[in-house]
Amino acid sequence: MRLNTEQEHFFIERIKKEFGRPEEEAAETVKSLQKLLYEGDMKIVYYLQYRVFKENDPAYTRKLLNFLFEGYTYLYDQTDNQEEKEKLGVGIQQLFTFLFIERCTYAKEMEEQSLVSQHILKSVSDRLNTVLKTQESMIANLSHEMRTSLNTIHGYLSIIDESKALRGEQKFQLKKAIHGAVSLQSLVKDILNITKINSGQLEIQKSFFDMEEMLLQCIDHLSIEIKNRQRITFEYESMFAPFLVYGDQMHMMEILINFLTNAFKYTEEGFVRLKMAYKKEPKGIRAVFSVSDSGIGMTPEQLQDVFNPYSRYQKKKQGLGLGMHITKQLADRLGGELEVESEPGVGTTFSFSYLFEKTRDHQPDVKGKKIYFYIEKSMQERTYVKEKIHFLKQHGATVKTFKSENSLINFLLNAQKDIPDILSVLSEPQNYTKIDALIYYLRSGKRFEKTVFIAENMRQHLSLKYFDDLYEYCAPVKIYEKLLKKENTSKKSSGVGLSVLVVDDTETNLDIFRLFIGKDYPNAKVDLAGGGYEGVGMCKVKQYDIIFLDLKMPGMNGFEVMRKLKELNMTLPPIYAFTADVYKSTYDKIFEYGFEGILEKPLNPEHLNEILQRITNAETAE
Amino acid sequence: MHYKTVSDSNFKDLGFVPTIIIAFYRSSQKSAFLAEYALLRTNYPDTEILGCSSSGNIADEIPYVETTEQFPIVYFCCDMKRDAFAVHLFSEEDDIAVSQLYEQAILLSSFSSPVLEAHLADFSKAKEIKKVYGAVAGVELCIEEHPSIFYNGSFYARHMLLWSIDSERYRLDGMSMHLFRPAGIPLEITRAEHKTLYEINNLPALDVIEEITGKIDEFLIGRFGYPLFVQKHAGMEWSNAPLASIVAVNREEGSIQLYRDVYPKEYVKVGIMLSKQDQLRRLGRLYDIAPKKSAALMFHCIGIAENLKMMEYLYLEEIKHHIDVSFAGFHSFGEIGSPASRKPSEDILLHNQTITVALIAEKDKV
Repeated sequence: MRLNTEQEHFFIERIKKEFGRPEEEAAETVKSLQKLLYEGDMKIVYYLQYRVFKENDPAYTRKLLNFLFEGYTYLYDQTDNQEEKEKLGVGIQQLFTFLFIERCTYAKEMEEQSLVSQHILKSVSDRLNTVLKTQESMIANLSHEMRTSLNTIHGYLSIIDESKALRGEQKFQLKKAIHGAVSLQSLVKDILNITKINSGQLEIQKSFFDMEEMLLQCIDHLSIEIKNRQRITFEYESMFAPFLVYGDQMHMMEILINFLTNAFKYTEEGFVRLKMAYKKEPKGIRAVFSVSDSGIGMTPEQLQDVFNPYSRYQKKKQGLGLGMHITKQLADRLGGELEVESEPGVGTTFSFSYLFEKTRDHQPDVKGKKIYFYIEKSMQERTYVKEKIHFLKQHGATVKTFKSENSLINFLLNAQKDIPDILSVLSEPQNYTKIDALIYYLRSGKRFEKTVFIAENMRQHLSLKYFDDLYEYCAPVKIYEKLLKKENTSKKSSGVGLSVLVVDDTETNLDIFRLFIGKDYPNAKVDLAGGGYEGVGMCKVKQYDIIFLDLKMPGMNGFEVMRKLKELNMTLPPIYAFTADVYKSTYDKIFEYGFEGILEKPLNPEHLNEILQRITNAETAE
Repeated sequence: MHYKTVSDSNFKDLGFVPTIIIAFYRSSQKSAFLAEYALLRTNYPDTEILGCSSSGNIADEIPYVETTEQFPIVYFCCDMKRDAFAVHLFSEEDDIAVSQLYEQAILLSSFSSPVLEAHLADFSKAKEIKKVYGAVAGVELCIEEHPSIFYNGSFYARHMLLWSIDSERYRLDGMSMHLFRPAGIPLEITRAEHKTLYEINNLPALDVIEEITGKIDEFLIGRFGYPLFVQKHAGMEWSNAPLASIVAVNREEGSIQLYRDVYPKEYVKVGIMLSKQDQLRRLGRLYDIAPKKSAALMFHCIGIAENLKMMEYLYLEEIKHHIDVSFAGFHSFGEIGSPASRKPSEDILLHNQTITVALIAEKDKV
């Protein structure tokens, strides 16, 4: 038995039409089909099985199934021979069983295997996450402990340095030790940052701030680098910003400091430039902060990798290579955009662009204040200076500008009643020394004793003795406000009658607190408690103006001390949590317990001073 | 070099006088094979005739692998130059003088034991030996019979046959490919005896593994669905590690029975099946190393046969589709070869659940 010509033709045409096979191939397939149907040769079955496997397409399988059924029906209808009909039935059943039933059975079994795989993947993923969390927490704890110790080391070294006890070679060695401690502190901070970012614990703390002031703080942070790297010119350009922006100042500073650190790291000579520009957009003010350098630059491959962790592209450079990775993570969390452009041998520009949706006009407290300037010729037409003067006038300050050195000296020597609250000098570098000497002379009389003398835009580090404040760049208006306030409160800052309690189980921390407070508030009374019980006991017998309370202490921890103090039903002074555990959950808990604020470890003397200043100001106001 | 796979005992059309014949005979077919051997010996008095018992054979005709006992005995015949190869028979106790071997070889073993693994480790270390592919003989699952190898008229238990081949004139390439990938962190074996794994990380082995896999299903054990990767050091490349199939579990003891010996201080990882695309990608590594035309000795683990069932054919068809190759081989109880990994390894390992391919070709025709 075999197919007749008409039947062969039917199948060849169907194969050509349905599967797009050429005539010759279709004829071969029909021969194989015939062998299956009438001789039981299974080759075609395996061939089709392989086609289904390779096509991996349900539509193809459906098409094949239709073809086989149509073919079977066609042949079945054409024959009256019962035996032939039975043979056809067996052949088609074999095809169907092999191509579909066995395949479905196999697929079903594979599904079970796949369920096992899914289960394994889930449990493996859960286990890995647990391991990662444990490691992360171990690293965080380790970093925390390291930070505490480093804080101690750095604190003591700074105190020795400030005491000027060491000179010459020993002083040089001390500087090296301080530098080492600072580098380590920075590494530990990076690790803690990564841990915080990875665990989603990065606290975004928004407040209104002055962008220019933030930029100057960034520059201050890098001041040693700027001073020591004499083959690099540091440049700073900023637009005058008559408004405050609402954002996370601390983390933005971290981004910019990372930019700057990176620029100095990869630049041997030339320049490093920090720039800020902004423009108004319908939804707010978009500021672009950028740091450019004339350093080694990066290849396109290095550029692709620059925000990946541990991607230091020059292995001999210090650090873990986490800085830019952290920067990217921070920028993403803040909702800003990072950009980098670089060319090998030419330099690199990193920029951070951020849309401040909330801003408010800066209302400086300068009304009625006399703010006088001496501005040398080259500075007189600068937009920034003009805008600042206009702004001060707008807010009620009396502004007078001296455009020549003679007119300034003439004024200073002859002024009787018209005494400025602030006198700011923007001059050529050589003139500052001259004016510094003049201030010394003026201070010998009493007329200018309340005047704050500021040297602005010095462009280089000058060793001036009598100016009250020195700025290598143009000072933002916020600085004037602060100086005016400081002048008002300077008398209070000796800390007369200020009573402070510090509770910490680490003796060195207590010691450093005492030294730092004593430096700026020599008359303050500082009591030290080495543990929670002792701290509570001291509060029972004495009323303090402020308490600094370590959170992690054996026995009674900081939170328990706080609860105990509240139970005593006494009037509590502002209590600050002293902690390195700056996770969001801890932040929430701190405020929930009623702490006034947080003083982060390592102890930052400026932050400590700000807090103490706030307390003394409040007391004076009362 | 001529070569041909004969699956119907018809040697009339061979067209050349083979210098070596390897017979893969199902364990139930020993008598039939012995009878055919007598005829072969008469026709080819100088031919080296080797053999290996199996649970099923692989031949160069559709469906390539036995699905309905089509190939009770499969013969691989070739006329490799007589002075370009040597056949060595070793008992389990013998020391193998590596220096007497050519640097590439096909190894057929009638046993799977730490001794065999030790020999393979020696091969890996020896400068003289570069490539060894082969397999452990098997038996049909329903037949109570010991695996055997055969050499010029006699069956041997607990012996190995090494067909070592001159690398100057013949090329031997290949790989051992399994269908799984390691998952999770390495787990340390803390108590094991022979093939029984009692404790992992000082906890009952079954509890530790089931914590990862979920409750182990007897049906899937039968299909070798739970292979473990095993190796000596946790830090080594895991995808190169050999697999050990779980063959039984003892819930009372909390132990796991594996297909191979394991030792304390070795490490395991659970395996999960690769997707079909990844399996085919892995198979594709063979095409990069394959000569233009070659004879292929195929050693498919019985576990692969159980796992893939009739789909096993598709992998062979896929190979046929890509390279010009002629198949002969069998379903084995352990395979020998270098792993098919991205990082080529020179380690010669005893595997489980692999498709192991050894491609043999004449060098000047490559």
